Amino acid sequence: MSDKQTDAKKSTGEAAKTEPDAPKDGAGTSKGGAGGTPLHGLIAEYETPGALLSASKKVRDAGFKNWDTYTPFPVHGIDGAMGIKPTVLPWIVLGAGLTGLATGILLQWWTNTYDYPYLTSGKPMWSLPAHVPVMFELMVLFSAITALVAMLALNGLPEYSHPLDLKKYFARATDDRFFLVIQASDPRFAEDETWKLLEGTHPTAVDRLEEDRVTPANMPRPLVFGLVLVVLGALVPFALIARARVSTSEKPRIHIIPDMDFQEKFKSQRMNPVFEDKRAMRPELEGTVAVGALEDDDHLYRGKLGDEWAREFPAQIPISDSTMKRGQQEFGVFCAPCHGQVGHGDGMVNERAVELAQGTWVPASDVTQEYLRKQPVGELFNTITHGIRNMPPYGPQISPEDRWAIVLYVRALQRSRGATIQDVPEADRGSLK
Amino acid sequence: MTVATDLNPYQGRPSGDTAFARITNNVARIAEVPTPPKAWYIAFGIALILLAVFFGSIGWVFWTGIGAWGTQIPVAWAMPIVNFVFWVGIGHAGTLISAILYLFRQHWRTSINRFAEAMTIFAVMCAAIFPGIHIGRPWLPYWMFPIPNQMEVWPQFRSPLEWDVFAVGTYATVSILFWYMGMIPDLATFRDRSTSKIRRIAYGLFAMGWRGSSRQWHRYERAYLLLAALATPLVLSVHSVVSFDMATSQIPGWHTTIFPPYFVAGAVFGGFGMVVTLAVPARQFFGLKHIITLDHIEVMNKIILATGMLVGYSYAMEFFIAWYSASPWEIFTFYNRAFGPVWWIAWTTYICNVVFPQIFWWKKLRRNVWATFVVGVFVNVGMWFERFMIIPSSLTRDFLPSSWGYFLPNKIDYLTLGGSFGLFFTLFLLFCRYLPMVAMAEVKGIQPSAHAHPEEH
Amino acid sequence: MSQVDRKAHKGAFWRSIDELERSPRFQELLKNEFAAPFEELEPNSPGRRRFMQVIGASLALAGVSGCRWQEDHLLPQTRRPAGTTPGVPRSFATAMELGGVATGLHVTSYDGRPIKVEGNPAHPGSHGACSAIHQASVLDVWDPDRSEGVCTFSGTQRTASSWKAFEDFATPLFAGLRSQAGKGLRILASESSSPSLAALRSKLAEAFPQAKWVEYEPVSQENEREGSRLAFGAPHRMLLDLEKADIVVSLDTDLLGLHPAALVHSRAIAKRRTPELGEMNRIYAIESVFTLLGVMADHRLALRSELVKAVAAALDAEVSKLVQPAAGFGPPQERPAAAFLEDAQVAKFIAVAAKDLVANRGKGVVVAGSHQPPEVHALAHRLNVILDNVGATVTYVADREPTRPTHVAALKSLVDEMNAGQVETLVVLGQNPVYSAPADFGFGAAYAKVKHRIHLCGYEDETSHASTWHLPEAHYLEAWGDALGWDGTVTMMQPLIAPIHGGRSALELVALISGDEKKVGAELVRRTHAERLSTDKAWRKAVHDGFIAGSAAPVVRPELRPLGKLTLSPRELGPKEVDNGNLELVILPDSRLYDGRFANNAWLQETPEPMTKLTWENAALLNPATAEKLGVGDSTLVKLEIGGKQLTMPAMMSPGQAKGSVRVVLGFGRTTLGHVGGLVEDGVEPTGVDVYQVRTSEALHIAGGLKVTPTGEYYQLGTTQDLHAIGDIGREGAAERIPELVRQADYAEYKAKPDFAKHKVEHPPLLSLWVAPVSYDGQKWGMSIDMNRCMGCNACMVACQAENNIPVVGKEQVVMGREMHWIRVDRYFRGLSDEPEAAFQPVPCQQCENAPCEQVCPVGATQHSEEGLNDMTYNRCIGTRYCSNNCPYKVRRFNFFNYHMEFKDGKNQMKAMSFNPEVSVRFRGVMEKCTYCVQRIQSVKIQAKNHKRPIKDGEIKTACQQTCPTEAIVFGDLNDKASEVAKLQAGPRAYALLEELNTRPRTLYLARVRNPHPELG
Repeated sequence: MSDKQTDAKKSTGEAAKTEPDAPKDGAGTSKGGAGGTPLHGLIAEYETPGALLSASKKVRDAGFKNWDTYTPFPVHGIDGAMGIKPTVLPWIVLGAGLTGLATGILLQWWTNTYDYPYLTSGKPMWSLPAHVPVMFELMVLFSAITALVAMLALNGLPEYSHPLDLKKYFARATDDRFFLVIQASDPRFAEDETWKLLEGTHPTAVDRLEEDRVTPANMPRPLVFGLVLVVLGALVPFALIARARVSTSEKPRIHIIPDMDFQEKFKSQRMNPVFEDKRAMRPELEGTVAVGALEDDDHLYRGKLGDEWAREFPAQIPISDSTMKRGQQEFGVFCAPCHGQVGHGDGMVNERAVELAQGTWVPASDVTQEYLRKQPVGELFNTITHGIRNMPPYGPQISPEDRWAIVLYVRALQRSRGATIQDVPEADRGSLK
Repeated sequence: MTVATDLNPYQGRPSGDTAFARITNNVARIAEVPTPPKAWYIAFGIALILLAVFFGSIGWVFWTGIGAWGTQIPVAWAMPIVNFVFWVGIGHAGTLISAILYLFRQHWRTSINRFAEAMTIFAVMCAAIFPGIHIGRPWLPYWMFPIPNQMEVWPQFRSPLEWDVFAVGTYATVSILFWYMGMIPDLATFRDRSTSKIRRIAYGLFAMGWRGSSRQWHRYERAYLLLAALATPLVLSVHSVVSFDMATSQIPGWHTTIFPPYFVAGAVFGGFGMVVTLAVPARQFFGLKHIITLDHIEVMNKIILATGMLVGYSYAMEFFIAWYSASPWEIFTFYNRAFGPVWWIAWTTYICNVVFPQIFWWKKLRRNVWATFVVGVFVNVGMWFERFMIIPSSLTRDFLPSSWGYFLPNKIDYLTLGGSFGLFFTLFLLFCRYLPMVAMAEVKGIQPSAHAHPEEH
Repeated sequence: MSQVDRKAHKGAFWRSIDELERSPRFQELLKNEFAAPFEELEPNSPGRRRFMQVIGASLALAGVSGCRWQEDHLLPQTRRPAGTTPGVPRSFATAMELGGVATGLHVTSYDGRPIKVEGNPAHPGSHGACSAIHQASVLDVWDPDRSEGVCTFSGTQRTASSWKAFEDFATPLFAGLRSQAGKGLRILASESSSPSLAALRSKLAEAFPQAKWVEYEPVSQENEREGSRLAFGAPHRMLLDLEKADIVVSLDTDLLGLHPAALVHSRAIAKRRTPELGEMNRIYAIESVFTLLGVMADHRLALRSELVKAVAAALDAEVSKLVQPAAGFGPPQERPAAAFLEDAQVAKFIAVAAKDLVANRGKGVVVAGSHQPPEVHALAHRLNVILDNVGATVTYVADREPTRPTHVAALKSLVDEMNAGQVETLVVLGQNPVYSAPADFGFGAAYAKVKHRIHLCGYEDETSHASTWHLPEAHYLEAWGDALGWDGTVTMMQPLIAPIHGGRSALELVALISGDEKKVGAELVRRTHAERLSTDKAWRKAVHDGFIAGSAAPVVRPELRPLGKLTLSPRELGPKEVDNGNLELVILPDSRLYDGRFANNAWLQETPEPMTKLTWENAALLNPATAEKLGVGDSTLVKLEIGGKQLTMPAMMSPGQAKGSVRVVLGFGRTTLGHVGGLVEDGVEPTGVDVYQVRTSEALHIAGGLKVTPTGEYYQLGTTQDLHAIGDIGREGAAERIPELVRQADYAEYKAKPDFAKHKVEHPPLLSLWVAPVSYDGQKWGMSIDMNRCMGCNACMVACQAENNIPVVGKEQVVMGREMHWIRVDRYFRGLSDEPEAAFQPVPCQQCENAPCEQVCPVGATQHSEEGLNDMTYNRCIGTRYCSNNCPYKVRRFNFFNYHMEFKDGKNQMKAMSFNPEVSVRFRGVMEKCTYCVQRIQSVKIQAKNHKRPIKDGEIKTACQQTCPTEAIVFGDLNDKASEVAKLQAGPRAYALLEELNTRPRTLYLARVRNPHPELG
């Protein structure tokens, strides 16, 4: 351990003697490195903070601007001695704090009260007290981050290289030595006078400080590369997410934890492998009667009166305008595609089928033709319910009431076929002219 | 704990021709010795095993469901939350020492603030894990953050748990900033002393080219002051907010206005407990006796005594208010707490937290490291039991007798608790090994020789 | 436990015996809690495995399809049957027959799957209500443990077979038997009232004249039947009209529990327990075990069951003194010279009861329990006759087969024949005699002597394994059938789904045996009712309605025969206090598993027994005083020795259990059934203890000479309440607050001050810091729960479980307080610890307007709806459980594990078919709770909207409300002032639980009112 210590000592204190560029005591005769690297400034080293303070005062009074001192810890009173003006930092932090506060208020108000109002425990949609903690925390958070970042920014940190780094003995600036540097860039800087001035401050040593031409101005590639790599690496996941959001894929999307997206229950018409037919939907058994599905009124549900087809509409179906309109609507939905809007059997499906002329197609009949006009309503109803020829049964799809309404509408169509003006009520005749 | 010098490279007087140099050497050598002594490796090994246990138990819970813990109805919050509050509490001393004492210009803080801060951060890390893993669907804690989403579902900001998210999150961030900022100059020192390239680059990167320019020191100090000023109310707010989890709810034993100050006092108390438990061995082992002196220990013990009595007052006040409120629920809960089936929890708490610290009325004991260490440990135990007393046992018996229950931790509960210490100590040991344990720059700043009076010639 | 101590707690409810116990045993128990073994709490201990075979992988990384979104398949029908819309549930009328009595049901079918059972509102045996057993029966349809096909057994060798194979075997066999006139053919069947079966039996009798048909039920109404035979000369069935009864005297009955007509009784009696609806009735209960009726009773006398006979005699003597019965009725009983009758309390009780009965002639009912000997029934009949109750509150219908021997006698002769080798072929229909026959019969051994042993059963159970042929029986929801209701109403059963495992009904098997030309259940039933339902229309109507209106059996008025003087054995006169070795053992069917046939039903297994709150097992119930005398501690194992047989089972202290009487229930300890009830060969231990081992034919229900030996070994009982001993402090704390939770007054007090309940708790005016942001002026849902009507039968719990896909968690989790029931029925005791009053309080989510749970959820997963529902968004819940902490009613339930894990793997996917598709199946880590059946609310709202009409009051029924036999739960729109619930909540008895917390619950309770006789007061 101890030998290490002496090493460290050599590298700093004794450096003064050994090294070529070590500061010379007394008169700096050699006009610094003529034709060598340009001068950055002059550096003086002090043992104690006291020495540094008094030196600083001198330099300050000499009216220098571009100069600085370097100490292992903040030396008390140095600000005054150097004439450093108070920093603007506090104002920046204040601004940040207010921003945080505002963010806190807006975030909570907008999310919970405006964008997606929560009705919670019968409490008002917006009440300040419950929202104070988050406001406060955000205020502190914003300020704190700003304090550090702004401090670094104002200090010009991070700073990669500096001419001082070339001086081995300067390492003690972070240990136990105190340095003062006057830059050549200062208008009042004149090497000899400044050298003298510094010597007048009783430094342990004065030295010329050349510009740094050894270390590259900016960080070495591998280092930069490494840092960039780290940053990019951190971004990869986000990049993947972003990509996943815009791109499409053949495979179903990745979904690691099922949560409640795939529940064990079986919704309608789903699959259940335990059955041979893989259906979770089981057929209802023949002969069973569901509650409310008794349908014991033959007239209403089957269009029958006894063994005869009913010639009257069942009592449950009012012969009214609304029924007629309903009938028209349903006819339009279910019948018109084949039978045509006015039931002449010229619906689009029919036309197309005939056009294709595949032979299997039995053309949709004209619902207004003679034998259908004569048919009892019950039979028409029955036809709709069970279908005929290649007309499929509509019983399952259309409620009996609606089927009757269709029948009523069909009757109307039949009536309108070959109707005379006498059939039109007096009042409305005018509209036909 | 006196380790023979040949075994322990940290012993012996630090060299250096000036007070400043000696400080530097004293601290820096800890990080600079080529290989730390066996003791460190042993400690680190144990810590790693515990850490494995921690992640093992969490993994098991994650895989099977949180039913693997003893948590149940009515005690829906059990060990994980107890541990959470416990660790958050620990995480208070650091920032308190750094920030509040800084504002009060308590110079003695400088020797302990650095690792108190480190301790804070690691404790908060341990704490922050629990709310995330204790939830039923531990893969979804991010739903508590206000992340914009197409469903337009946002967190519910009336919930104290949501406040926790922000409070603890902010606290962790600010603590880290504070800690890091304080370390910049010391990292620069390490950089400048480093003999190997890797160390130079590593420390160099984090020192960010700090060279100790006075113009930079000026802004640095201002920023540090601001952070301290911000951290002070923050540290008070954090445990207040944590206490809101209970205070704002219905349950007798939880529904109490005294909680915020009570919890903060407890946190400081527990925090200092942990600081001394760590500081005493550390100063012995790492040869920091010259920096963390008996005076420092004594001051901390005074604080422990004071906060311990604050906590004791809170305990008493809880009972008084329970009686004074004339609320049958409250009266029952506290009667039950002291004499019910879980009486032993309450009494362990009271004895560890109120009785033991009383020995610090005697200066001899205040300055006795052994006494300090033992009391420190007891305080930690006591504070853990306090949280256990408040959280699960209040839940066991609320309003409807039909739904009364009883909580007993199970194996996994204990493993998770023990494991969390693994995380804490792993991080702490790494910190001791690689980072400046003491704020060198600040300690130098308060040396007599640092108080400069311009020497006129 | 000191007398002083009990005095201290007189008049206040307290929770459980432990609280009143100060015994060292209890102190030890307290210690035990700290020493509770961790293993029990481990997720994959055997008990857990019973449910969650793969708990380890509870995270279920999508299970089937790895880490990617699963594919979902739609399999629509090509041609949709008329009247059905996929996804629109339909409901079918059918019925469940239990012990020969049918209860009409409406079963909801979703996509052709039965998923929910309700009562048939029109059926006289249901009135729209049904019991926990009915509710749970739907789960059995989907039970993966059900027998999956015909198989044969030879020794332990099981060989899968087929119906075809069986028919090939059976046809020649029965042809042969037919040629020998059925010699050596015996059929052992469950009791059934099915007309179709009766028809087939007569055919069978013709074909096999020498064959014998034996009916046996382990649990039956035989005593009642024999009692009426004693009283009237021929067996009759007694029908009660409790709505007309002002005075009900129960001699050890379970009228509201497992009585076949319990639904009818409870509906009727509840009407008389509602002071708003008119004068309350008064109930006297003399019983050994705390029954549901006992809880409702105004006066309860806890006596050993064996003493009830003497009490009945004394009552007869008392009454006869007051009313001079006609000479034809024979002389009254003399008051038995029994010391205990002179006990002041007992004597007074009897005297007052008698006086009350006489004072209300023709308006009273005396009824005896089905486990009481025939004489007691006969006395009850006699009392009803001489009190002119017959024809008013009591009517009679003739027995179906007056001549048949009693079950036990019939079984005995069968066993004798088997032993004598006279039985060559025995067909067992549904019953499980190897498990359930009286122990002294040695049925198993005798059975082995039979050559052809054919067993028809839904499960491969103990008997199946002892048989040569096992045939899968169709579940009642899979088969056509018919049966008679309690009042003889012809009730139709139609299947909701084709037999999943190709099972057949008993009808079909008997048809096969008797070589009937018709084979299919539908045709058999249709044929039976051919003349009554001649037309298709009539038939369809009967099937649609679920019963034939007006087909109830004709009411008869049997002549009372003089009843000789009762012979009372010394034990029946015995002292009130008996010592060990002379104790009484009362063996009853279990309120959930009945005689054991429902033991594989997880819902029922986890339903807490009403009084003990015990799940997953049975225990020996002792009165605390008796237990103390015997040195038996609560939750310890005891050895029961009786008649040379012995049984070790956990003991539980049950206040209200008569001193010196020990109650055990049947139905547990199944060794060969399934992965719920027990399947030893598969490593699934039985639940509870098999009590049939000590049940003999002489003492089917009440056995004397019991010796109890404590082992002192601690046993953790799986109760949902009083899980942990809570010490004196807890007990006192509870005693203080319970009267405020369950508010109660006497009838007189109520009359004087109807709103007494509103003044039970003094609290400052409940002010709020803010005005609520919503006015709830649309619908405003609310509920009221009448605690005077609630009888704690648990039907609501199971109904809720079925409706809302509530998981079953197993005993280990119940012990950890992790049961999932959304509505729980709290049971509180009051008064002296050994003979207390009790009360039930159903607690669902109270749907607070100021819900404490909502404000604490960090993700807003539980929020309030505009209609005032406290909604739970499962998908949003991350499981912080903060809401549960903050809920003062602790009604929130949490999925600590993925309790549906096993539904994913193969065979178990069958279970999932029982799920209600309208309700989310909650995943692990999610909080859940009662939603007021929001899915039902929504579906009705949609219908109403489609038809552009307002929602009618009572149109929306919550699951618990719909099934409640006593209509204690009412749900509706509070803004509709005309609605039932609005009226009730405005009524005087309404109060909010914990109102002082200002949570403003939407569920209000109606306070209890008791109607004691002034002299007993």
